[in-house]
Amino acid sequence: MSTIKLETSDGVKFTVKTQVAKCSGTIRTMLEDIGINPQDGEAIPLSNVHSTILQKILVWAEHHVDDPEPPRDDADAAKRTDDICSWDEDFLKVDQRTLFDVMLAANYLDMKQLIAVCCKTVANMIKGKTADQIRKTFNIENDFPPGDEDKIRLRNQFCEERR
Amino acid sequence: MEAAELPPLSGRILEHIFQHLSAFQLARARLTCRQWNEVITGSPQLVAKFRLSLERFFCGGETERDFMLENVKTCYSTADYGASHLIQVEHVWVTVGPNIRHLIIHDCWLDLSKVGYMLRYLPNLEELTFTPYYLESDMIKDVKIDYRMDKLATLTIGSTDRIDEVLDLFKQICSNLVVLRVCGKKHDCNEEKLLNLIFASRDTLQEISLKKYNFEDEFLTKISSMDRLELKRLSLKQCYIESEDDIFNLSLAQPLLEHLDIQSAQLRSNEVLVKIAQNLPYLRSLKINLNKLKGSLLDDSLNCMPALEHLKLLSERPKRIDISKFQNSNLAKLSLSGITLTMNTLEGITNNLPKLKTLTVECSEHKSPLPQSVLQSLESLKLKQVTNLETTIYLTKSTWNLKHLQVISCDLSGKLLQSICQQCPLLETVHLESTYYVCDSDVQLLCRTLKRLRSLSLVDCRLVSDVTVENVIVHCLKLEYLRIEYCRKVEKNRRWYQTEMKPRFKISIGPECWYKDS
Repeated sequence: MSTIKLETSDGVKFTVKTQVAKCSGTIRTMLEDIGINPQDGEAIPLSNVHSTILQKILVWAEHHVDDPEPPRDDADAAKRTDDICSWDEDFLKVDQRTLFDVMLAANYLDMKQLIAVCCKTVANMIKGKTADQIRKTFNIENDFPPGDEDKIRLRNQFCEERR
Repeated sequence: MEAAELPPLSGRILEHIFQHLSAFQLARARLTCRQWNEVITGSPQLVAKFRLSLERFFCGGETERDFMLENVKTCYSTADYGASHLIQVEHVWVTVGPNIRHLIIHDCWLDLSKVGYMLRYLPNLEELTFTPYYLESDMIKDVKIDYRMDKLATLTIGSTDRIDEVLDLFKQICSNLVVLRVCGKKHDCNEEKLLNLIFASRDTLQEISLKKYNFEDEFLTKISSMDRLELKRLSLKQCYIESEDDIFNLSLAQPLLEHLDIQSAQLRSNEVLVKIAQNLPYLRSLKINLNKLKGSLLDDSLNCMPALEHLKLLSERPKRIDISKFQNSNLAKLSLSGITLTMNTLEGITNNLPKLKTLTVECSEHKSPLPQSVLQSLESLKLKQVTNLETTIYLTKSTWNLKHLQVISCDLSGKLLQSICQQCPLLETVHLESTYYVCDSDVQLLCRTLKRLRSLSLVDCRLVSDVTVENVIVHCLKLEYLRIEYCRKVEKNRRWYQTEMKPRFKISIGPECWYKDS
């Protein structure tokens, strides 16, 4: 079983099965297109990912390494948020900081399935909340200039659910 | 609440997240901060979820209205023009118009001449739904139509007064329609006007759907022999078509047809159907009426359509039909209405249709013996007004994959329901409507057995009481939608909606509907 080395932003080196590392589109491109040779023993630098997050992501990749390719452009599946499998649900029961870090790292590493499941989890956290509750949940500052918020509120008045 | 600072998310990730939200929730999300607002208004996909309600627009005063106009200018691509009585709206369209791709005009009192004026301000309109409640057209002759709507591809005209004038107007302004749907009014429908509209878009039209039209002889022949017209879908609902030759000519002239719905035509013989089948090699969906069919054999003709994926056989009077030798390896959906299945038909269905996913049986009596074989592919089963239910339900015994079950106005016994639950553990949707023998203990058992249940309807189940509702809420962890309208023994109890249960749970109890969300 071939392995490669990955080095995180804080200088920690991981030895990972090549097949697992290839869950990441970014690493796959580095290996296949750019031709970085893992046999050299040189670690691939992942300057945007911290070791605690990479560790977590590798656990996910290890579990999903044999998943079949998802069907493309399945509009229906894309909209649903209740189809998160129970393993992923447990995996993402973490504090928000970690969830966001995982999502950003997954984005950097180009791991589409992990991004999708993170986005669904966050969407579920938004659902049912007012703007105020959303700000509190995600610790977002209300940075609208005075008056702008009322303008949007006015616009929203004319909004109707699409039937 | 967490005090920790969260890393900022890029617009691309936010857009991905927002795609999972409804228009209602998006409207709240955009009030959160500037970045979120910009992401939402900057994404055409997300903007398309909102629709501009002109009805609410006109509640405010004149000055407020102008201020609002500027604001709405760029936020909407879909507009809804409903229930506003004869309001002069031209200045609205001047500002909002160029952004609108999809317009819905419904339930309003309208002058057709205003529509003629208004549409010129919507040069980018791609889809128009036109179903006004009352229409006047006295002034239409004074309107000068000096513009065209080249991007308009989908036009739906609902049952309205003055349909001739409406068709005439659209004939002048559209020439690139791809989809045309028209609902007439039986008496005053002018064939000529409709033909003219079709003729104007003959190069692009792919789908024609007509409802409530009385055609004269050879109407279909006239449409189908139109030069350069190549249809893929044709649907005729509640239209009177006397001549079988007309249908035959249609099949000769339009060989590319993929979907054909001629439920209102009167087929008399199997031979015509064979000929049609031979003329239409790409046919994937067929809906036919067997009221006047002579004989009971259809296997020959149906077997000439190997590409068929969806078949509906309908008869308004009980009719015995034998399709036990019907073989098709592509058929996914089969719908039988008013058809008395003969001996062995169920056996035939299970043996010869290996990809069948959805089976609907309506108004039917069954006399066939129990099938011995297995129908593994079936995912959805709908039974309405079916007598001798025991036999049909037997289908569920062999369909472990069943996800959706609807039983409407049938004598479903508790014992039968119990066995279904045990045989079909994957059920996600169970709709039991007007099934009078289903009682509390049956539903409770259902809740405990079906772990994946997402939608449950007990509409008009007269034995079901409060105990059941409480039980459902506690035990069905994945449930999103519960309907208990017309359950006479259920007391409408607000407590159910206030308890912190599951997110996104909706319960429908009658005229009003409470969402846990708001």
